[in-house]
Amino acid sequence: MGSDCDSIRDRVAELISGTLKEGERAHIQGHLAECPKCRAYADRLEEEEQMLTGFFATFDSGISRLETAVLNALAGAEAPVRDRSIALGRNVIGAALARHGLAAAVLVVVTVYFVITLSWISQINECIRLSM
Amino acid sequence: MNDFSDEILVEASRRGDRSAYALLVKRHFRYVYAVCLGVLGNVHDAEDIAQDAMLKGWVKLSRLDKSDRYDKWILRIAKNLCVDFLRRKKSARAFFAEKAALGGYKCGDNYDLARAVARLPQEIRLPLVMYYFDNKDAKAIAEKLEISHSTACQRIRTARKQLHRLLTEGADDG
Repeated sequence: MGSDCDSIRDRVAELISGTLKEGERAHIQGHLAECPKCRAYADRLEEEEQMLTGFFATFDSGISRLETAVLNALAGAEAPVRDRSIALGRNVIGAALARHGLAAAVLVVVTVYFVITLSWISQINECIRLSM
Repeated sequence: MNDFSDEILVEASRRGDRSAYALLVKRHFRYVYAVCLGVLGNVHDAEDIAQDAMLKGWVKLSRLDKSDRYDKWILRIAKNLCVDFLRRKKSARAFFAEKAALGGYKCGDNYDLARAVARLPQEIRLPLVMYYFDNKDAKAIAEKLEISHSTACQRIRTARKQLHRLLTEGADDG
């Protein structure tokens, strides 16, 4: 094996799997044309590449079946949590608003009560003053 | 509806539209499954976890901040579920060895190849599996896995070399 072979073999895996940069392709292919051992290595990787491609293609039918299973499960699944979280959020906000609204209403009633009471007292005092 | 973007389908799904989410399932399940297979290295468990991930995605859709990032989000869910699954095992290495010995694959002539893939370290197995599931598009898998293109290429190259070594140096010895 030549001194260049080690570094070339590093790149052969990229060449075969298709991730090698375009600019490096010619150099690697040139070496493979000259070096029988590296070419044999590349041929073996090419065989494995076809095995891998075929191997992962076998999953396609299984994926369709699994997709169908997910869709069936989806039909019976609960609605996204957001619907409930929004409802929950609204309840929380609603409760807070209700509390504050009640407090405001009480404050208004108390204020009006004091204003009316003070007005009455003032009128009564005025009547007493006039009668005297 | 098939032409709708993920963003539109996610928004519709959030309103409870199951048919919209069904389209997201059809569009992304393949990659979710590939991630599960890549992380777990076992077909049966990958099938279970991938289905769980898609359904969890439906239920947790409100937690997705950006609707147009559904693809990466659902892959992260799948990956996290796989990691949790593995964490429950004594150790990933023992788990893979056991599964390989028990024959977790039903791939006929591909049995040795399946076992060799299962024996690859997870870090390089995942990009490898994704690569072959995604029409050998390294750029696409880099985006899906949120790694750089050069990192994806480097991991695929390393995986291919290790796979070759496993297949030629008695990968099926246990």
